[in-house]
Amino acid sequence: MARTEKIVPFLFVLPSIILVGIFVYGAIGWNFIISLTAWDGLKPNYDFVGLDNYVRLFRDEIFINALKNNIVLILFLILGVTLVGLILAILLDQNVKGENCFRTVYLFPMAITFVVTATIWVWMYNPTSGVFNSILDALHLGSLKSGWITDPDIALYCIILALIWQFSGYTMVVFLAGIRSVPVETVEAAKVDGAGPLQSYSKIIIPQLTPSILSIFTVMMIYALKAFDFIWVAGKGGPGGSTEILAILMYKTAFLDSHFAYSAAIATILFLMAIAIVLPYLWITRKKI
Amino acid sequence: MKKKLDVKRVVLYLILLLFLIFYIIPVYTTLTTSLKDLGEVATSSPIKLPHKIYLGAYRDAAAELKRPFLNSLAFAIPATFISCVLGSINGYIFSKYKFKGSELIFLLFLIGIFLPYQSILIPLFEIISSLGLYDTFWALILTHSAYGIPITTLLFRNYYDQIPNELIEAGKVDGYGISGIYSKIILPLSGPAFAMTIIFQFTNVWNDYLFGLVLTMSANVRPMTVALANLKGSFAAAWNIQMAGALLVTLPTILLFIFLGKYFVRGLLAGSVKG
Repeated sequence: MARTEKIVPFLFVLPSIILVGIFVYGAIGWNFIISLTAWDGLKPNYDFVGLDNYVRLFRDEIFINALKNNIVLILFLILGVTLVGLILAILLDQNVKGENCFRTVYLFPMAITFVVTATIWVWMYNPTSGVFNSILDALHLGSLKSGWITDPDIALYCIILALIWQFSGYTMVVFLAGIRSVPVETVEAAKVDGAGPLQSYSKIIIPQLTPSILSIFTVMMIYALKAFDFIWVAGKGGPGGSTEILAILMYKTAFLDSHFAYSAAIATILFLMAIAIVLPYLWITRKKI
Repeated sequence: MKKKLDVKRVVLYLILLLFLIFYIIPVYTTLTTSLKDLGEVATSSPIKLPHKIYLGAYRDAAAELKRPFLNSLAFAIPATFISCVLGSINGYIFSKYKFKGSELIFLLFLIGIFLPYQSILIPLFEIISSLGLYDTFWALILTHSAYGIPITTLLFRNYYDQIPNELIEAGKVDGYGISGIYSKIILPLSGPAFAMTIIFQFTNVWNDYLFGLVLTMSANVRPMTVALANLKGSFAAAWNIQMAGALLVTLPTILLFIFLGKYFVRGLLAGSVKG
């Protein structure tokens, strides 16, 4: 009796364990095995070559470039969405009339697919008749006009701006939930002690937002590793590799150039980066999950 | 004193309004561009309203996207359904029937939420091909169901954690087994959790591009996101058709968001703050 009580629950989750086991963990293991082979070309080839592909990676300028772009994307995207989200959350926390309306507008980009946002932003950045250059023209600031996403020097930052537009509503919601979960007594006590509105945020509320910040950092870092859809649709990593990140390079290397083993090595690096971000996060928050 | 306060309020609303414009401009220019004919797109500023409303871009985009729209529905609905049902069962077990190793299994599921899909893309392609499912709806149904399990499990488990264990005990006293308690007690209470998870997961699946790109090829299977990206290639200079297409692709999820947005927000928060 006691035994079936333990086995029956397990049987209920078994279908999911099998699916996750195959599609997540089996696939990760299989990918790692591929990365140790000489599989180059359409026909699978499982000749073992050890860590050769990894050694090659770190001598490959294209890989190093993608890694650098990925790091820039991570840093600036997190900085941007954290700042904008926090500012919006604090502003909306001031008993704003029509808060729901503002919130809905700030948040709706989260519900849109990256394929659409990429299509829209490429049009906005269009050098001849896009909205950015048109506004600059209208303001008689024609000298500031630029090639935007077609200019390799700033293309990556153009993408980051678009992604900030897409994600800061999400960080705003997370921060707003965090701000509102700070006990009212704590804030009131600070007011009694003479803290002004700015001080009550910087000294009392923001320090209590550590869980929100932690989860935003994690989610956004992971996203910056995965930001394939937007960049691929916007310009396939171009111009001149200036927006190529690891996820793009992995896809190109495997599904366009058929260097499967080499691509699998890039995929493993991506996985290890994700794990290095996620495991500490899950460990820190394990009591609350 | 009172007047000074008012100035502050004005500045506050002004900043909020500026942000509002920043968020709306992309949608606004998409709308104006989609309603212009190509000549006007080329000559007028995208900020200007259309001189004369032209619906031809929508006609052209709809002709291209009609079939992909049905394709997306054909896999997004079953995939959402399957991963939500599995997520609900998992959430129930992980919340109410802990067994040896269940915590570890739950943790291993959670890691799946953060998985960069590139790191499994080659094996996934091999699995789907060897099952003979490449370029079928089943490829996308199976893939989205499997990778949906981690997040749906987390959302349901967090929800079921709030249901008191006394209800389970009462069910046992009434003679219900593990599945009886689920169908008679837990499921009737799961409405809000299903609403949240279905909306959240449907949006995820609908919005996916990568799996559709890698696992499908023919026009009869390809999802709407892939079709839009292709439209971008084949109508490269026809910005009005592209923008009309973009709005059409986004319509279902935006409608869900407008009418059932609170569930979407709950899904976002439950999936990130806690997990």
